[in-house]
Amino acid sequence: MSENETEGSYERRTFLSKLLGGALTVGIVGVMGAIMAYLFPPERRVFNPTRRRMRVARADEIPIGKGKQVLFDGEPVWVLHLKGGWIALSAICTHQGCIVHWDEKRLMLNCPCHAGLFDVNGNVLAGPPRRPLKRLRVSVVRDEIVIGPGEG
Amino acid sequence: MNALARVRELLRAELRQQAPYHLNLWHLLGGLTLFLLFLEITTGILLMVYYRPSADEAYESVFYIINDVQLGWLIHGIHGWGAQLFILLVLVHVLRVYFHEAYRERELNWVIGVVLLLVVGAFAFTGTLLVWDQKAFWGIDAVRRVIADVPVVGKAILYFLWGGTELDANALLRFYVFHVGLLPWVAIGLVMAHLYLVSRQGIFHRSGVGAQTSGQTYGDVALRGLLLVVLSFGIVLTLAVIFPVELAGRADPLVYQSVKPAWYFLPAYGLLKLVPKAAGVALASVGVLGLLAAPWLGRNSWVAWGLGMLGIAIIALLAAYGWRW
Amino acid sequence: MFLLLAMVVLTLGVWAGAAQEQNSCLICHSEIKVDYLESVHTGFGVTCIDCHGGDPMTLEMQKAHALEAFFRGTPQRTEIPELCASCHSDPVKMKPYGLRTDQYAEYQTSQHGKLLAQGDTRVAVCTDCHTAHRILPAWEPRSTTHPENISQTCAQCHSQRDQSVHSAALAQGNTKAPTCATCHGVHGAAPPGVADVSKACGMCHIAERTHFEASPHKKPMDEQSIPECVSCHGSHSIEPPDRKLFDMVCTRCHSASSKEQLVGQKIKTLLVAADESLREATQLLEQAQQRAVDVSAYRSRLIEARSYFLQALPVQHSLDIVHIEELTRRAKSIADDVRGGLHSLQGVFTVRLLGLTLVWIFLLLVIVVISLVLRERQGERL
Repeated sequence: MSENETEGSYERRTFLSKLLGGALTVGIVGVMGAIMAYLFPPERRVFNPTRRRMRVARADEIPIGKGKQVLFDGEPVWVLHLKGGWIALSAICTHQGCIVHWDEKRLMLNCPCHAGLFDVNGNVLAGPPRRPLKRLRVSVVRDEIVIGPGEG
Repeated sequence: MNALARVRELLRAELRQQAPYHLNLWHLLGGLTLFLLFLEITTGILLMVYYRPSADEAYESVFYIINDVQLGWLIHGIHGWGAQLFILLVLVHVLRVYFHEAYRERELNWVIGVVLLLVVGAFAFTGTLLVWDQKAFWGIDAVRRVIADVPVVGKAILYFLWGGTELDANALLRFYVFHVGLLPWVAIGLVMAHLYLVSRQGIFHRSGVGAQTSGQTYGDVALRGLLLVVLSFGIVLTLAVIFPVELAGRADPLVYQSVKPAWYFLPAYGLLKLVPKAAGVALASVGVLGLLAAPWLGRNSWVAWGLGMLGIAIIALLAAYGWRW
Repeated sequence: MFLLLAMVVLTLGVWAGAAQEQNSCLICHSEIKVDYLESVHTGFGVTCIDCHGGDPMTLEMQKAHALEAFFRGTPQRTEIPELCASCHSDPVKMKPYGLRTDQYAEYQTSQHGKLLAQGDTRVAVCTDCHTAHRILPAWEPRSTTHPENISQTCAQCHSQRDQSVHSAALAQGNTKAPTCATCHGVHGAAPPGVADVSKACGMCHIAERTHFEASPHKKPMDEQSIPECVSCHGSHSIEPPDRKLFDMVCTRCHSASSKEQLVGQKIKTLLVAADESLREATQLLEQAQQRAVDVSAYRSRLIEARSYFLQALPVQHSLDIVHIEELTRRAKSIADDVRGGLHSLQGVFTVRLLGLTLVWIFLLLVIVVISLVLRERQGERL
C-alpha cells in the first residue's frame, strides 16, 4: 500500500461521506418542503356544505316579485323576494330533474320539460311532479340575503 | 456546542463498535418496522391537522385532504400504504424470530413482541373506520355483529370499544381516540421496552455469542439499514402514487354493503365463517394465547418447527377460505 | 289493560248503535252485514231500506218484506242509476258531505248510460264499479275505484287491459299515473274521439301537446281523421318512448326514402347524439366520484345539460329542427365540456407519475452512494 493510494482512498472516502450527507440533507429538505406545502392552508377552507352559508345578494338588489338563481353546493337554487318575505327553493324539478323557471307574472315556478308547476312554497300545483321542491333556509343578515342548507 | 460535539463523539464511538458477524439483512427487518412506525406517526400527525373525527364531517374532511390540501392525497396514501407494509414487515419479523428460534432465553421480549403485533392490529382496525366511507363502516359493523354475539362479555366489550351497541358518531370518536390518543403511547412504550431488551440481551445467535471479529461495525449495519429505509420509502411512495386511496362513498347506515376484510384479518374472517361465532372468537383467542406461549411450547426445536408449520398452514387455509367465501 | 278497556267500550258502542238503529235486516242477511258495515254509507245513516225498502223493525219475514212497507227487493239494473241519483244528484242532500252531484248527468252522456237508455242491461251501472254494499271512497286502497284497482274493475267487462308504461308507473306507487278513467272519463266514460285524443293525452303531456299542435302533422292528421298521439305511441300498450320509434312509425305513412323520413332520422340523430354524450359524461362523473375526486363544479353543469336535453324531448313533436338542434346542441356541448374536464382531471395522474420518477431518480442516487460508501468501508478493512 503506497502512501499515495491511502491518500487517494481517504479522499474518496471523505468525498463519498460528504456526498451521502449532502444527499440525505437534500432528501430531508425535500420532505420538509412537502410537509410545509401540505400545511399551507388550501384555498377552499370550508369543505362541509352542512356548515356552509352563501351570500346571494344585497337585499335591495332584488325587488319584490323578482327572483335570483344561484348555485349552492353545485345545485341551482331560486331565491325569491315575495311580499311576505324571502324564499329559497331548489330549482331542480322533482319529476326528472330539469331546472325550473320563475314566472314573475303568475307567481309560479314552471318546469320547461314537462310543464310541472310549483307555487312559491314549492308545492306542486299541476303536472307530473309528485314531491314539492326542496326548500332551503334563507335569512336576511343585516342587509344581505344569505341561504344555507336545511329546511327553510 | 460542546455538548453537541460530545453527543456526536458518543454516537461515533457507538457506530465504530464491532457488530456480530452473523448480523444480516434478516436482522434489520425489526429495525425497518421502526422506520415505518416513525413514518406512520409523522404522516398521522400531519393528517390530524385537517381530519375531523365526527360522523358529520369525517368523510368530507378525508375528501378534502385528498382533493384540496396540497399533497394531501400523498400524505394520506403514504399513511395507508405504509400501514400495509408495516403490518407485512411485522409479520415477517415475527416469523423470522420464530423460525430462527430467536425467542430462546428472551421469553419476555417475545411476549412484548406478540403484544406489539396485537397493537399493530388494533391500529389497523381502528384506523380503517376513520375514513367513514361505506367500506369502512360496513367492515367495522360486521365486527360489531360478531362481538355482539359473544356470550356474557360481548355487550361489555361493545360498550367499551364502541361506546354503545351501535356504530355511530360516538363509536367513530372512540376509535379516533384509540387510534391517535391511546395506541401510539402503548406502541412507543412497548417498542422502547422491546429495544431495551434487545440491547440488554444482545442479538440472538444459535451457536452462542459470536466472539470472532466480524469485520463489520454498527456503522455498516446502520448504513445498510438506511439503504433499506430509502428503498421501503420509495416503495410506499410508489404504491401511494400508482394506487391512490379510493373512497367508497359516504357511510350510509341504511344502505348495506358487503365488505371483505383487509388481507391481514382474513384468517379471523375465515374462522368466523367456518365455525359458529362464539366458538370462532374462542378459537382465535386460543390461537393468540398459543402465540404468546410459543417460547414455552417450542422448547424442543423439532416441536417448534412442527407447531410453526402447522400454525402457518392453518392460518393460510383459513385466509384462503375467508378470501374465497 | 287500556287496550282491553278501549275494545270493550268500542264493542259496547257498536252494539248500542246497532240496537238503536233497530236494523233487523242484517240479522237474517248476515252475509251482507260485513260488507255493509264497512261501507261509507253506514257511517252516514244510509240503511238497507233506503235502497231496498221494507220494514227494519220486525223479525217476521212476511212483515219485513211486505209491499205495504214499500219493499222493493233487489232493484232492477235499469233502475239503479236513478235510485243512486235520488240522493247523489240532490245538491241539498250532498252539500254537507261536500260531494259533487253531476255524476248522474255525466253517466247519461257516457257510452254506458246511452246504451242503458236503449234498454241494454249488459252495460255497467253504478253498482258494477262501486259494488252494491261495500261502497268505499275512491281514496281508500281497498276500494274498487281506487286508482290501483280501477284497471281490474274495468276489466270485469273490458278485455283491453292497460299494459302500458302508465300502469307500470301506477304499480310503482305513482298515484299521479293515469288509469282507465283518466282518459276515458269517470262517470261519463266513453272512448275519446279521434279529435280528442291529443286533448286527453295533453292533460298531462302538456308540453308535448303544445308542440304537436304547432307541427305540420296536426292539420293533415285532423283532416284525414288519423288519431294523433296513439298513431305513434299506441293506446293501451304504450311503451316508454324509445329512439327505435323513429325507425318504426314514420314509415307507416311516409315512404322510406321520403323527405319526411329524413327529417325523422335527423331528429333521431340529434337526440341520440346528445343522449349518448350526456350518458357518458354522467358515467365519467360517477366514476370520478367513486375515486373521491372533487367533481362538484361539473355536477351543476351536468344538471343544466340534462335540463336542455329533457326540454328537447317534447319539442321534437313540433318537428322544428332548428329548435331541437339548438336545445340538443346546448346539451351536447355542455356534456362534452364536462367530459373533457373530467378527462383532464386524469392528467393530474400523469404529473404525479412524473414527480414519482424524479423522486425515484434521487432515491436510486442515494442508494448508489450508500452502497459505494459501504464498499469503501469494506475495502478499507481488508
